Amino acid sequence: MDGLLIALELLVTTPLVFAVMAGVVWGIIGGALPGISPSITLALLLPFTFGLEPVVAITMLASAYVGAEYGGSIPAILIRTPGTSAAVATAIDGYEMHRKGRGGEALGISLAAGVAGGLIGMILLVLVMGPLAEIALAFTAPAYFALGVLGLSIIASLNDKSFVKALLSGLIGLGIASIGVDPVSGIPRFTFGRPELLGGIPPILIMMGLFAVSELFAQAGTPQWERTKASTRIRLPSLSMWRRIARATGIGSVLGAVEGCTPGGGGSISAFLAYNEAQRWSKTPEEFGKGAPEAIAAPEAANNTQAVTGLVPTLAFGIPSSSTMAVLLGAFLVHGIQPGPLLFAQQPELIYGLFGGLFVANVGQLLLGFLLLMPCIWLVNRPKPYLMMGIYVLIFSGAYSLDHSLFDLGIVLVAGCLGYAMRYAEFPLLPMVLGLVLGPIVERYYRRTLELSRGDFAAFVQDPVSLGLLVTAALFITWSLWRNYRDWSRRRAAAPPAR
Amino acid sequence: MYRNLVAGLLLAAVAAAYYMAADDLTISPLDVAAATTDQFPKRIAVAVIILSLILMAQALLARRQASAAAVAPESGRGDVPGQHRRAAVILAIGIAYVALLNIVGYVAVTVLLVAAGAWFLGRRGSLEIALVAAGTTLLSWLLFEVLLGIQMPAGQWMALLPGGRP
Repeated sequence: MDGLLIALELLVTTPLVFAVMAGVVWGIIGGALPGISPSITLALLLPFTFGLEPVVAITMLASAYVGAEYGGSIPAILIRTPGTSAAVATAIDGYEMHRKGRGGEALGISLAAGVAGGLIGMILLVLVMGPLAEIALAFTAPAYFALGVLGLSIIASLNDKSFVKALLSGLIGLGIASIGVDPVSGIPRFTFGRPELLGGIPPILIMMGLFAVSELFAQAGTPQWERTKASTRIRLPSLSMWRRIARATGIGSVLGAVEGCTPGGGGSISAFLAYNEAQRWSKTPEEFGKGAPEAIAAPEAANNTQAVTGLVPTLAFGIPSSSTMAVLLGAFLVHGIQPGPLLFAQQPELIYGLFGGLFVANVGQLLLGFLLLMPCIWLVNRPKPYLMMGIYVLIFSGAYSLDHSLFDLGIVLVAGCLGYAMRYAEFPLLPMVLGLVLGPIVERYYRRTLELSRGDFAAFVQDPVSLGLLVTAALFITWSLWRNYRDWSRRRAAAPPAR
Repeated sequence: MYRNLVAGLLLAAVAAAYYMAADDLTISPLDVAAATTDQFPKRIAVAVIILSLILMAQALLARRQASAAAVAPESGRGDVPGQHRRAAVILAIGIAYVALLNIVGYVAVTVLLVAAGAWFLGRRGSLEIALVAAGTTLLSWLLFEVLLGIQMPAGQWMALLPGGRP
């Protein structure tokens, strides 16, 4: 009850509602632009939040994530080009419905299922956060170190293509995070005499380069996406349509909730899982792929649920569940807030303000989805070169606004080159981002454990929570190695015989 | 597979350099022996070297298998012709932007960035490009300098004017 009162007070006395709506608007527009992922959308919004109170800033960013998940479905349905990777599943049947003249209906299902999924995610978030924070308070230094290792292991092991590359990516992130002043002894490390590096490299600059700039480089060679001349109006589902998509919406919400709490997600996994499960449980599975409403409702509900439940590990443990949550975590750090269980005790207004703001964001999305459809269509139809250069300007301006430093712009460009090279070599980006964000925490608790135990490594396994987490991490690693080996064996067996 | 081989070599080299840089770090006398300033980076470096060697071994094994089966090794993601050249030009435009920002000033260099980038990416029509470049710059200036109050570089030439800020 206290939390509800805090949330209501913040909604009434601060510009929280306005910031939430602005965040949703930004998110819908950003999500509607192909190639601009929710993480890029948040990274571009971040500079605009510097002058805001932390609760307003963080809620605005989280609301942008909510908006981006819906925004991605607009081009997915209208031009079969997902605005976000999570909208790929929506594009399959959404575009088919649009081709049959039911684009407005498809957009309405996407919007309504997304709002429903987001509200379900909100309920779960509120129910789970408090008890989880209590549990996290009991964590010791070795347990926190082990949690960081587990987070990195999970994300690395969820990478389909190469576990080795995912681990390398995470380690690169840890290495970059070590630049600056040693968090324990205060000795400069890897600064090469540059005063700009004494404070370390702000993770947000790396993320802007890794996600946004590298995407610009990649988009430079690809042609303009298809344009739509549709004058589409959104049509919300009728009661009979709701009866039809209710089960799919529920399935998507459950899967989205699970993925949101699991590191390594980001929406696209749960969206496809939701699509498959909705088809399995549908009374008309043969309609999937040809414009089935359930095929839109399930992934969209999953996307929006995981956008909210992704806050669970991010807030409770300070471990982001996706690249977008990693950007949000970077925003916490920029605003001088350390996520983790102590946040509940020390800054409850931030938590409850965030809850209240997200509720408003999910409901407000319903209205804003209607209002922003035509502007989004107009924007998507603009010549791609102008959109790309506009984003380039936003990136540079945003990075400069952090510390008024040209060095920061250089870091963004270097990170952009690194991101481009990693994409080319098929190295996943998320483990690196996680390593970057978790690096200081992991190292701090690693060394604290050893200092308390006077150098005895057994301290990591003597703590039962730490032992359990490390064993779980080892199981994930083993499973991933086995899976890589199994795939390699299958490819070898399927390869033509040697001459 | 060549990509993995090159990536492994590069990473191993960087990790080796990182290890040597960590070895040169000053150690605080207050640190426990197993938890000194250099220990964590060194462990990262060793892990990267080991994994890089594994990656290279995987690449060589895959290449050998492909040769034995007389098929071309997987090239991984399909390459768009000229992709890297175009990306390099966008990068060069960005580098020029950073280099000129303090000299020419935010407004002028942003107009140049948008115009140059749009022209390179295929837009034609001087008037259209000029208008869009000017409009984008104006919008950005309004957002950052007027709305957010973030002072963008005015350019060194502005300091020469009476009352101009550096």
